[in-house]
Amino acid sequence: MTQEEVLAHVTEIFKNVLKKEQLNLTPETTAADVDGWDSLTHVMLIDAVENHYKVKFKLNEVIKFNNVGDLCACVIKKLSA
Amino acid sequence: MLFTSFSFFIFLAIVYVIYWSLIKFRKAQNILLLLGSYFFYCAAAMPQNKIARLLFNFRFEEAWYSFSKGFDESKWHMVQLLLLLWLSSSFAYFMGKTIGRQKKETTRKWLMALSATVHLGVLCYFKYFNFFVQSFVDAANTMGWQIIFSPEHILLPLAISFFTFHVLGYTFDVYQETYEPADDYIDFITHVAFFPQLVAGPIERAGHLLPQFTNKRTFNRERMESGISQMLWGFFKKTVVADSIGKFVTYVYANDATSSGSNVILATLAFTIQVYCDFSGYSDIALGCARLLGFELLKNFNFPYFSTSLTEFWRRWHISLSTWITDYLYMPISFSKRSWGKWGIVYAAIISFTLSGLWHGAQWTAALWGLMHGIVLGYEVLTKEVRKKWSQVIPTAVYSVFSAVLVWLFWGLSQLVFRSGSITKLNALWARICSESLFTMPYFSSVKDGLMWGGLLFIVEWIQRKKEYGLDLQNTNYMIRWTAYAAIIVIIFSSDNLNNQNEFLYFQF
Repeated sequence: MTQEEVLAHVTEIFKNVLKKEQLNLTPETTAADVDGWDSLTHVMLIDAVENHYKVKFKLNEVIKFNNVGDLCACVIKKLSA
Repeated sequence: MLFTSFSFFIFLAIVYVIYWSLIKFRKAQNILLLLGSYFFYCAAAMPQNKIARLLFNFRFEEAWYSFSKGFDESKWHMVQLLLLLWLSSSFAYFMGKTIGRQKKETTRKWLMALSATVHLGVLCYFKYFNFFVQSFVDAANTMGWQIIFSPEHILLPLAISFFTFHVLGYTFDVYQETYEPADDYIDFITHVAFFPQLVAGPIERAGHLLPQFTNKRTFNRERMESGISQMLWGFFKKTVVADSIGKFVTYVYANDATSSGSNVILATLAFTIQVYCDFSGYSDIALGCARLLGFELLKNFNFPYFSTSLTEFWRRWHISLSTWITDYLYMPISFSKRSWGKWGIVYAAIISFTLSGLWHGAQWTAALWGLMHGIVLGYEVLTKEVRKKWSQVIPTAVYSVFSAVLVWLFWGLSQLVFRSGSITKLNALWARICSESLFTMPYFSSVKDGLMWGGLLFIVEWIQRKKEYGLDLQNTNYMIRWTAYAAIIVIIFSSDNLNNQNEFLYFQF
């Protein structure tokens, strides 16, 4: 699975969880760029991504996510393992 | 030695002159800061007259005689304090190195657990031993057991809650590989002991402060002016506003049996202003003082009383503690319960804030204070969408003012619980509020000065809310800027409170 494909799915997941119709994510997007993406919704976003791809993240991995690109890269790594 | 004492100015002036004269020698600057910080730590726990004698009237023969007489209890206490600070930071340094060297995840986890157990064990012994044993004994006695317990004489080491969280944060960061283990031992123990932030924060992160110790510092006139003006704003908050209100609050809370209900309400609302001006004033002085030495500390307050929800309030109040709690407590708990959805977040908020309450004090009222905040934060998580709809229907200004007042009133109610200090006293104060005395006229005249200056402070902070602090006038007209500085200096020096050194509230934590 390519980063573009994962990014497209992740964008849909973010739209659902954050209840935002208009949301455009790029690999460089951070929590500071998205209204409503805070420490409270962060865990819900992670859970939704895990459920979608049937993967499990570790806390140590999640802490190191600096932007959406890091999240997508971790998903790709888990899927190819 | 308080930030607002004359001794501190002498100390800061001496450190400042020597420090900048060593501008080409970074290592020597750090050693000076280490020795200065250890002196400051001892002096912070020393009575004022002893420090004045040490700074102004030092006689070698007298000092030698005093030393040769041996150690009395206060000197031992001083040595123990220093030893604890040094051991705590040294242990964190060596554990950071050891964890960083290990490749095996299980070994790293065990080392991190060992480090956390040691740091938290020391904190628990000094801060919570008597509290937990006494609570257990009380519970056992109510069930009919006959247990007698005499509390141990344990002195709470100054700043232990702050430096323990500082070094624990570093250990967690190294374990989670979000920060490399520190290389230089002197730089590391100096950054932990760095005197502007040592006694009452901000709770620094190694990733933010330590690189500033390993880099060369540059002298900058604008930063010096900014440092002094932030310190002035802190002095204004502490001496002019907080200390004016403090006397009335202390009187009302000390006389819980006779104070009228209306005075309890007034004192509680006044306490919300006192605690803000006291603690954020301390943080302003700490940030300004560090800037004078070429360092930037973490921003600790961001005009919290303008928050329109409790969630926002905790992003603006004691930011260094709330981000610490979020990163190292709330995140792991909510992550482990992520399958619970929103309820996992509510659960994590309640646990994190109850523990945060206990961090503030070894009292059940402190835990209750934290629990109240956890529950309301949980409520805000569950009602986020409904509240968003309301905010779209009600005019923005009305909604914002109403929400800010509601947050402030809840904060006041929680401060009543916190400030009472014990469940018995809380019940007594609550009984006064529920009595007929609630409808008598409170003693406004006792706090009128404090409330007047407090009102002025909030107007200035509202105007300056997009800036770093209230007196941040760096880009303002030269005349306005220096008139404001002069006015603040005159107000501070005309305050009666300048002669009565009142300890900062957060020293007790």
